[in-house]
Amino acid sequence: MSCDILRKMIFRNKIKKAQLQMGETIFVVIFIIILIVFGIVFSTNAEEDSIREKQKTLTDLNAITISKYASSLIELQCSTLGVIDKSCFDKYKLTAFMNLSEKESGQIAEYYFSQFKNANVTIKEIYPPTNNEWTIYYNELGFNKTKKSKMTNIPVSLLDPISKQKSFGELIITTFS
Amino acid sequence: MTKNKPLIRFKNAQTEIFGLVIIVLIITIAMLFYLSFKTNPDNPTKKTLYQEYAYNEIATSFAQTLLHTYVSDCRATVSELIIDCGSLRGRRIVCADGRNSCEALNDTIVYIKNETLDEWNYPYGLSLKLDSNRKISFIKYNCTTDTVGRGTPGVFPTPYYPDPGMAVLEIGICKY
Amino acid sequence: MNDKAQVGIQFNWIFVILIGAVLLGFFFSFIFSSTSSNEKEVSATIARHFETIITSTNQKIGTVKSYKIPLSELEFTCDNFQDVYQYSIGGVKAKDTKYELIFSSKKLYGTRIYTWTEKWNIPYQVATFLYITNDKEHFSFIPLNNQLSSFEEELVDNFATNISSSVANKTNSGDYENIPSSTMNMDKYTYVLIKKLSSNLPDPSTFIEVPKNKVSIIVLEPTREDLFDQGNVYFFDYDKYKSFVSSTTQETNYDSMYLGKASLYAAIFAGNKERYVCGMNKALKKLKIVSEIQKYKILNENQSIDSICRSHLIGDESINQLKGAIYFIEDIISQSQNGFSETTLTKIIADINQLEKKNNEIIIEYQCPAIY
Repeated sequence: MSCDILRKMIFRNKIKKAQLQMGETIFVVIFIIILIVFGIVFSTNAEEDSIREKQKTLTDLNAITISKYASSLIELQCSTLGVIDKSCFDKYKLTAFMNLSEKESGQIAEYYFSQFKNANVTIKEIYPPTNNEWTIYYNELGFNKTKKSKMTNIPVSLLDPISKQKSFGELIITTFS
Repeated sequence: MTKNKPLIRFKNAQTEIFGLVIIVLIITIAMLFYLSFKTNPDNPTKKTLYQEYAYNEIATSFAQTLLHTYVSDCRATVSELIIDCGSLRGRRIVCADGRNSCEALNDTIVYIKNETLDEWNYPYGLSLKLDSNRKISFIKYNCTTDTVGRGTPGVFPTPYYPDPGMAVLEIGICKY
Repeated sequence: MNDKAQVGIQFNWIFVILIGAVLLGFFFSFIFSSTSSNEKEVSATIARHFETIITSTNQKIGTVKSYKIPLSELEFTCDNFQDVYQYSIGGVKAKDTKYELIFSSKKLYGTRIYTWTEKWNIPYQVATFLYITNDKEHFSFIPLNNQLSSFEEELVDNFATNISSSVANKTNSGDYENIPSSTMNMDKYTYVLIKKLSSNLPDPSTFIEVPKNKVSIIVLEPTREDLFDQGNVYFFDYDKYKSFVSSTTQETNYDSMYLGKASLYAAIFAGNKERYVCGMNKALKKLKIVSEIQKYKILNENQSIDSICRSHLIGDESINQLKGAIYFIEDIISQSQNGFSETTLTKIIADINQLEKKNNEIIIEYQCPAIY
């Protein structure tokens, strides 16, 4: 009888040992999985930061590209015998551009969309204070103006080709992202 | 001997677990170090790409545009008013409303600056030095020549030729 | 019991191997997907920066800029028939270029690209042409005689610096020195010649020592006293040029025409008729827009100018059917809608000549606001 009891005790011990071992193994596996999950979460967060940084750079690049393009539009700049005067817009060309945009809005929108994309481009006359304003491109559909927009203000001269006088103007470019 | 066996086994298990815990601790500390380096706040004096471009563009364009602006009351450009106001020749320009060139110059610059630089809310320093004694200057948000992060100013000389000397228009935009 | 222990151990090992395989598989797939997304990210970054390069380069006329890029293949597509205009990087479409005036070879493979711009004035400034090449393309100017003619000299002097190019020397024996050789290991060799009525074009074997499949030959035939005013353009590959030169009369219909300096260099950089004509069609679209702005500008100015200026700008039938500037501008608008062809260009050239005359007249004689 004592042998039986001893045998049972040893058997029970063995089962407990086995259970312990299994438990240990399972615990280790779970622990490793938890570590891996933590690692993935941390690296994803780090990636997110890096992506956000890249996105910011690209948004900046986009705004700069559009601003440079808008301030160098040959078709609106002042010119004398084919020589362009940079940082200067011809008032009559601006008005002409708006006339053309009204008449052929589809063609103009399509042509300039490839460069301006989602942006508003306006030129305002500051001095003398005349309230003259020309909106040469307008595309802010679907964007919340107050949230994700960047406004660039560039001083430009506005030339009256008849009187040959220049006034102080402002080129306002609002880009949306 | 048989009594010691379970004790040794216990110690083995304890050592194993202890080792595991140390590994976990090391990994955790390493992660913390990594995170602390990664989430460093931005250097406050570092301008973004966009700011670099915008500030340069504004500084250059503002001065050039201002100098070419025509003041119809005085039948002269700002550049001509500067020459008339600053040169030894004396003030010959009289505007339609009776102002002399210096008054008209000051009024025009103030108006344009109010409608542009002040509206845009950039910290800027704008100055027009007519000679060693006379200088018109405007500063916003303490943006002086000594301010850290002030962009290279646009400097625009206007000679008084044939009279000696020249006026210097200077504009600098400071970091945000 | 031993059996049980052995089975237990085996199961343990199987379990370990399985877990190990799963973990390894997970990590490898993570690495592979990360690599491919990195490659796409690199292509996208290059594409974005290239777009910035194109847009910003357009603003600085006449400058040659050099850019180092990661090793990639740039492919430019300009196809009027299929209405496809784009460039792609590494096989991935980067951007539509329906309205961008880019003249380049079809494919550029390498790590360095060069951009050059020229303004297209006809007679008012219409557009900026952007030429793109890389360090694996070489341009060789082949004079017809021992000394460069005035046209050849002008062509060479006005060509972009820093871009790989050379000017050949013709010896007394009729051979050429200083010509590209295959040791240069370029992807493309473009040879440029200027055809004159009096002289024959040289045989290609005298100046070509590179593989035929890498050769492109552009022959220019100015039709005015000024090289850059206007002229005809021939586009050849090696074999087509050889048969052209071998024919007794050396006469063939020219492939296209050029109008203005920008257009002449566009033919050189495009390298073939299809790409050149496609680019010039885009240029005509821009010409239409700019001309329409000019037209509305004149109509707006109409109210603020005196009657003499008005008659020269708008026209006055009572004064000998005087055609104003606006008449010629409207004709340019109408012609620019017909596509780039000899007929279109001939009519546009006639209108431009009239506009130039009129502009000089109204500025000098009548002190009116300039047309352009």
